[in-house]
Amino acid sequence: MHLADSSTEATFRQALRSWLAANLTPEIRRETALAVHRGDSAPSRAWQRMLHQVGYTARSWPEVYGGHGGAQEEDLILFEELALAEAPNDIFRVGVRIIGPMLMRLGTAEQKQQLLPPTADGRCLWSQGFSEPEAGSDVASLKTRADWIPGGYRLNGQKVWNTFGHMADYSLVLARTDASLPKHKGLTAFVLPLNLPRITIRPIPQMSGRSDFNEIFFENVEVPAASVVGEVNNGWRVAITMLEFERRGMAAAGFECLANFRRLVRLACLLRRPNSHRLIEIEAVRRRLVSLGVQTRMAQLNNHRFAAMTVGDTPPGAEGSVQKLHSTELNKALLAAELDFLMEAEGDEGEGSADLLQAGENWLGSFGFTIGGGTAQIQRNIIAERLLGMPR
Amino acid sequence: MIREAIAGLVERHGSLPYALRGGDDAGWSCELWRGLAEGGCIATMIPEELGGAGLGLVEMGIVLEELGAGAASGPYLGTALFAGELFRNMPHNNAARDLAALIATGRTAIAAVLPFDAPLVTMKREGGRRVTVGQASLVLYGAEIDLLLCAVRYEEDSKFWLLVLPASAQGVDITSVPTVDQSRRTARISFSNVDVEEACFAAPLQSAAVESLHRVGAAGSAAEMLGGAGRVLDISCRYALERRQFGQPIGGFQAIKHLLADNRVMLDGLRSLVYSALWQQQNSSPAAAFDVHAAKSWAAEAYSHIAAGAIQVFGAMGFASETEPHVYLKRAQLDRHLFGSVDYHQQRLSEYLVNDMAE
Repeated sequence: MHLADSSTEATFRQALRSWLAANLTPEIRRETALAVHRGDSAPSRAWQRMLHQVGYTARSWPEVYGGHGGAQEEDLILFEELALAEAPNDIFRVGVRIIGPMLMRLGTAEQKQQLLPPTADGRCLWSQGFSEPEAGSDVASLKTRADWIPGGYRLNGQKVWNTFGHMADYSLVLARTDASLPKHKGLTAFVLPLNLPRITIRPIPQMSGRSDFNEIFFENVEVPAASVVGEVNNGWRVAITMLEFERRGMAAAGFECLANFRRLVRLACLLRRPNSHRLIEIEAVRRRLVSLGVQTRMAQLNNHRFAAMTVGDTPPGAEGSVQKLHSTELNKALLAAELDFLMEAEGDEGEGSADLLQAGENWLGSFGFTIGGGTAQIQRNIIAERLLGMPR
Repeated sequence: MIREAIAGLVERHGSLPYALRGGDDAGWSCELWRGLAEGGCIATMIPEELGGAGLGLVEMGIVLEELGAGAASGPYLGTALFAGELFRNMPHNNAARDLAALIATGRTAIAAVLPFDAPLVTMKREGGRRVTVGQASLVLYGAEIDLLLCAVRYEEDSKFWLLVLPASAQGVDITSVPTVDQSRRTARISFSNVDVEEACFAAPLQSAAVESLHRVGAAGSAAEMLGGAGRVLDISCRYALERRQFGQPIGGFQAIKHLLADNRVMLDGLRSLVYSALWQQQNSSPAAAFDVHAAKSWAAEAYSHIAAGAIQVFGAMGFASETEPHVYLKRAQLDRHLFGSVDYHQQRLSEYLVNDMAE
């Protein structure tokens, strides 16, 4: 269990922290956020390129694929420090943490050579193409078809909840290549450029006011056979491999809690109630902060403990589900507290008052994370079945 | 390795049936106590130069976790945990060497009287002598041990002193106070003008040393609670697989699965906190304060909740005295009040937030 940095880790953390202090300006934070909001990925790509140049993204990827050959522990430090510095929302995380590592394991030489370097440095933004209107938690029942044609496949069907699909360059699409086989067996994974003809992408307005998710429609979309990842009809293996890497990347969620908690304490010190008490001076506020602080420390320590349990190439266990369930629920509570604090202090001329709408959007957005990537209910099933040995 | 050895010992000496039966005349399982002494477990934290193992709080935590899992009885917590603290404050002379040998071999047991929430036991000047007055409640095995390790506040200068008093000292009045937890004994101890001359050791304590006593007690207790919480969750999982209703094990129903999964999440968080608390305290790291208070207050919440969940999973059988979950529910209830109440630890966390986090 990682409770203190080794000397090389401490040096790495210090260098990273100084670099962030010098280079991550309020303008970068603001511009990337506003641009993503209106569907423009350019400032995020520029930030990703800056990070890549100094080795602060795709850190643990091999150099041959555009990475920096760093240790996995350094990834964890990177996630922690980026979260604490309130770095821009990482729209490249699916590519860098899930699809890239999956391609390294299952992709063809050509796919790795073509797709990995631009994925590392922000030229290639990925969106995952699993869910469909009738296939959510039961994703293996998906209906999008990929029919064999000479030299490739023809895709027909619809995907949904594709995060950043409207800005993405590529999607990793799971489609049915053999309807006569049992549902898990007849699926194939494709790497699909989203600029192909007859692909329609429609953003979905969310309750938070944002439109990060999309519907993607395929009408006779033709893809070459070279787009198949792994073997034909073995797409489920691709999905499972991605799930493993998603669990590994889940560590970052606990660090987001930490960043949100620190912001919450800052706000409590800054904001005043209309009767002029600073929030931090109010006993009930302090109690709420203590309870959230204990939970946040747990999320942060869980990250380190679970990471220490998966050494080298062994796939992370179902502990990732514990982490996801805990940290996503906690984030909802943290962001709800932030919104409460701001609303209680409404009328205060302090620094926080302008953030009321942003805090509302963040709070509403946090509900997506106990649904996406396996709902909280599915996580509970996984914990009960895989960690506690309950029957399926 | 330590873990397996202790688990075996607790298993062999039938601590759980003992807990279910509700104690015997000795107040604890003598075989278990002897086994712990022979296995060197009581001497875990006694320095090597005094004949102990010289190990740290993390190793002690592993021992305590296993003892908590087995719902073990006996004064091991006060004795093994505070032996380390005692010899940290006491000069390593012949008297210390003799005392260390008595403790390590299980012939002398210790209970701690610490001023967590309010320093109710104080020292004052009375006709040229220093005497101790006041009352301590819920002292683990207070009526069964030989030595009382007390941190008392001296009224003259409000500083703390460490006193090691024989339980038999003049003016020490010990009353057994039964609680819901029948697996362990507790006592109320009153001090009426106990002459400090009666102490085998008395010395002023630095405030850091008082903090250390508190934190070691709270972290050790949290480790024991972690063990109990983990075991009672295991017990509920085992029962959910055995018990069949509607033609299937009840563990197949999502209502049961999700209850157990939520409790596993609570337990995992507790494990992370407890081992961090033990490690940070052992290394005197700045994070020790937060982690120890967080670990103990979360242990109180999680252990009670997980034990209550086990009773619900067992259904009517959980209400019957022959099943195990209630032993843990009762232990959790007592543990909540030992080594600082939930309120005390949350208050400390609250102060930390205001003073250390909010620059």
